[in-house]
Amino acid sequence: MRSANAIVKKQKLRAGSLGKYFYIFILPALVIYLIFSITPFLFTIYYSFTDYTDLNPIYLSFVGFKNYSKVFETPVMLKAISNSVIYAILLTGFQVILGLPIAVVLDNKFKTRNLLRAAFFFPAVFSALIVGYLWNFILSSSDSGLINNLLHQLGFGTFNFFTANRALYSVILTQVWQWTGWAMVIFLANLQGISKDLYEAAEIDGARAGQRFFKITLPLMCPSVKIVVVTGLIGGMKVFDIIYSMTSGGPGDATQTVMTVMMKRGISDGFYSTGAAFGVCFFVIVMTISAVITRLMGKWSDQIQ
Amino acid sequence: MKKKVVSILLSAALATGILAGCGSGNSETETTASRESSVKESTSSEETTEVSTAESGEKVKIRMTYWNSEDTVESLLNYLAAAVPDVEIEYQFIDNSNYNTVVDTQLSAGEGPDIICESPASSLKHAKLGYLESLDDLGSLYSDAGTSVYSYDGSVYALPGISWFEGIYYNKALFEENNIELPKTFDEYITVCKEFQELGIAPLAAGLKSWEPMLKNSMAFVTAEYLSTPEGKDFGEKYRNGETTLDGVWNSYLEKWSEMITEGIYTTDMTGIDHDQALDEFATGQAAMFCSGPWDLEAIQSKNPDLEIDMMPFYGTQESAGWLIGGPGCGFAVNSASENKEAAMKVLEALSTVEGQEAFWQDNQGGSSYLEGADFELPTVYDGAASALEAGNVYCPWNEWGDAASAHETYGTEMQSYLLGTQDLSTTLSNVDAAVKELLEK
Amino acid sequence: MKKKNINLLIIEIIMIIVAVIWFIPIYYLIVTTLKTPQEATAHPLGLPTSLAMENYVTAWKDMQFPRAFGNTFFITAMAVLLIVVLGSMAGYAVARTKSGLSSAVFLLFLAGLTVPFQMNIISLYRIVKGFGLMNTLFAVILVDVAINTPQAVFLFKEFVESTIPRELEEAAAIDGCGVVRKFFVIVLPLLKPVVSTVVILVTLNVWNEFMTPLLFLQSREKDVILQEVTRNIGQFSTDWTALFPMLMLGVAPLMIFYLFMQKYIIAGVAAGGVKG
Repeated sequence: MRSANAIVKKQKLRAGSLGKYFYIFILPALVIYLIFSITPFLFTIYYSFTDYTDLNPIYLSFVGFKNYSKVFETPVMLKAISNSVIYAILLTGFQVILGLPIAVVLDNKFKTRNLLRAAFFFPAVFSALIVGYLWNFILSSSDSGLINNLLHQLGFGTFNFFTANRALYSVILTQVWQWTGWAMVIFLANLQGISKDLYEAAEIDGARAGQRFFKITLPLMCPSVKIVVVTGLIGGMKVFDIIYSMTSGGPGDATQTVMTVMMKRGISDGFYSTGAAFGVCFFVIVMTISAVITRLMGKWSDQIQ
Repeated sequence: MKKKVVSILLSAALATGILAGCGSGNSETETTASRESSVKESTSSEETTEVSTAESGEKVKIRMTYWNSEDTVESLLNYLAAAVPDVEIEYQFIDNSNYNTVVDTQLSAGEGPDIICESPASSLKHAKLGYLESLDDLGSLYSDAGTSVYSYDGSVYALPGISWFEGIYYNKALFEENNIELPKTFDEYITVCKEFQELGIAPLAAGLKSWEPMLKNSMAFVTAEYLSTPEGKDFGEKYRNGETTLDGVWNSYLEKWSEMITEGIYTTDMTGIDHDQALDEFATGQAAMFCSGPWDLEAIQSKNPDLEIDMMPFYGTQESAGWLIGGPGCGFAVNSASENKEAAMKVLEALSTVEGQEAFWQDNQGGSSYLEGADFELPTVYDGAASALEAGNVYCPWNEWGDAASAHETYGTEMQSYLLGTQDLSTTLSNVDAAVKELLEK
Repeated sequence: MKKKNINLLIIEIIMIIVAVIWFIPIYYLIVTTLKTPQEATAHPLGLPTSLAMENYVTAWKDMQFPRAFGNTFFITAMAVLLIVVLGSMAGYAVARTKSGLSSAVFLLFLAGLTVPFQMNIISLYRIVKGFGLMNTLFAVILVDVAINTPQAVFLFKEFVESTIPRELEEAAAIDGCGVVRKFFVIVLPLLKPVVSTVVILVTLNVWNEFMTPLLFLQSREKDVILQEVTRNIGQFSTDWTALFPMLMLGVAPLMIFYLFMQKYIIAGVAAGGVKG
């Protein structure tokens, strides 16, 4: 806090129209944020360079980048990173691919339009944890599983949603179900901002529905797509609750994600410093992804203009 | 646009850099502050104990955590409430999957429950870190078989609970109706399973979504074949000292055991089934057998009160009394940072009586007590496992793994990958070896 | 024109079918709560034959629902209140102050949008303990406030910059209105749309937050609805008739909130999304 005060003093003269009230306004939020978000983050960075474990909690010594090299030598950590990236990309991709057409269609003046919107959005108010428990029952291989029960009644064999190759996609499926409506709502807000005159002009030109979508709608949807993609990817990388209640990372390591490995290795197994290094790596990946995406999206909007 | 993003990222990085400076300053004050506060706390705790002894008659409230539901200790809690009337126990169930996480974080922060139920692995860790009170006086009332897994550096840190064991529950009616003989060896067991398959009955219900069933099943076989033999006897000790590995030693046994997979008794479809759904299949008569222990008996019986069941042990290739996977149940330990140590000790004293053990046994029938002088009758539902129990053939291989005991979970998840065909046996075992090594070197 | 209407009707029917399929899991959750396990296995999607409410009564008792609801409600309400008041003040200050410090503070908040707090739980745990907040609802409230403040500050700043005319404030200043009064009397009421957005988003986030209560609330009388759900699933998962009503009770409060506030929730998410 001492050095923060120093900054405060230096800047005092340049505080804008609020004058000294700037600090009064900013401090409460900033203090809570500094204590409960920034400080723990800095401690995590510090721990990542030490030999902090559950068996060595007090006298920490500096070990350089050892924890970081350990992260890259541990298969389950690499698997977790790749799973999280796949999860984030696929979930976000499906949110856009499914959410955008649904939004475009529901932008029409249907009688049932509000009801339909409400239905698609509904799962988004549920807790991901409970969604996981619910889908556990829907996807189970046993007769108590809804889908396999129906398959069995129709005379088909069992479809196991939780094999090494499928489990991750089964989890993604549930999250596509849960979050597509969320994306749809954001797309709808964007669509409502697009002037209908553009469509009328296009209609006079004789543009077909498909052409209309790709030539007019899609380019103008850039802002909302960007939001959905950026927040979807970042949020997707952090996935934890749904894995916790659906698969606990299994079978084998098939659905381990960054957060589940962090909890297991970093906390339960007591490899605190390696966990911290893993967390920092994860943070760097998230930053990189957001930078790349923002850049790509920037290019897209440049092209359109 | 691009520039803006880059500059945002850069300045964010800078901002965090600036704060890193102020953060380290903070951290000093932080730690001193917490040291001060812990000093304060310890003095205040002395005060509170004084107060609590002064105002006798007022109940001391203590907290106890366990990973099994309240009904598995209901009689015990009732007994303790009567035996130690001046102490009120707040029972806290924490789900198995995050039990260690929650308890560890609490203990490392100097908090946590007053009485902690520990596994052998966690008690060793917590004892090393000085989180636990040594319980040598009370520990001497128990047999070595029970206290040895809860000892560290010559002291007992947790009192062994009623033992747990896992065998194979079987549906008596399905065996009798189809004239199927009970197996006496592993090969006969495989034959029995095949006979059920031919009849269109699933031989074994298994919730392989969890990593536990294959862990226990395969280790029981290795126990019968190798760990109980003269050559294998000190494997556990060598393993925890880093002198041997699973890969290269266990392979041949597990290859034989893999008939469980190649014969279609364990199928890949089962990774989509929870433990509870498997239990349901067994209880409703859809499957002939189910591997579990006393903790599931009530659930099975309440689902289907008419079901006639018994338990058989696991077998090796040679005829034997059979083996069960098991060991001392949860160990009761006292948090050394507890402000109510006296009260916690009183509770453990009450537990270390024949009456206390009996109350605990009530909800864990079938298990045995390690307290000297406490013997209970085996319920008839375990008749088939009686010979194995009498022979003392109850063993839990990973309890011997010391600091690496928690790697049994890795063993279980690696076996899932093996079942699903994503890796061969040697890779499976060497992955476990790697995890064990990492834990031993910590 | 007629053909277009028919096309629209066909599309509408298709969308209704899709929406019905989309709704199946929720329907399944609701009907299964009222069935026996045998009934659920035999006709998983059929309507229940009787309305057996005892399951709900048992679940209600086992979950200690009123208490758990109270805790969850208190945490959410306090977090929302703090975030709206503190977040709007900070967002306003950042929007109205052009200085290096002001943009540095804003960027610091922005950085929080990308940092997953879970990576820091060990240090977080120590800090919470250091403040003596362990096993108090305020631990969860403060951490949740810290997690959700960045987005709120961002939304408030954007809104103030784009929609609140400076002239209005200047006029107020000439009238001799102090900065603090100016903010609460003149600016805050104008922020109503963005306040409702923040309230909606924070409510959804905090109500559904599982990790922070799990870490900071140890005793049962302090725990929240989601903890009661996991706790009871751990204990009773073999029993369907107990399980599904618990899942239902777990989602019911937000379900009801949604049914009544649907319009505002969708609008709030849309506004938060487009801006955030």
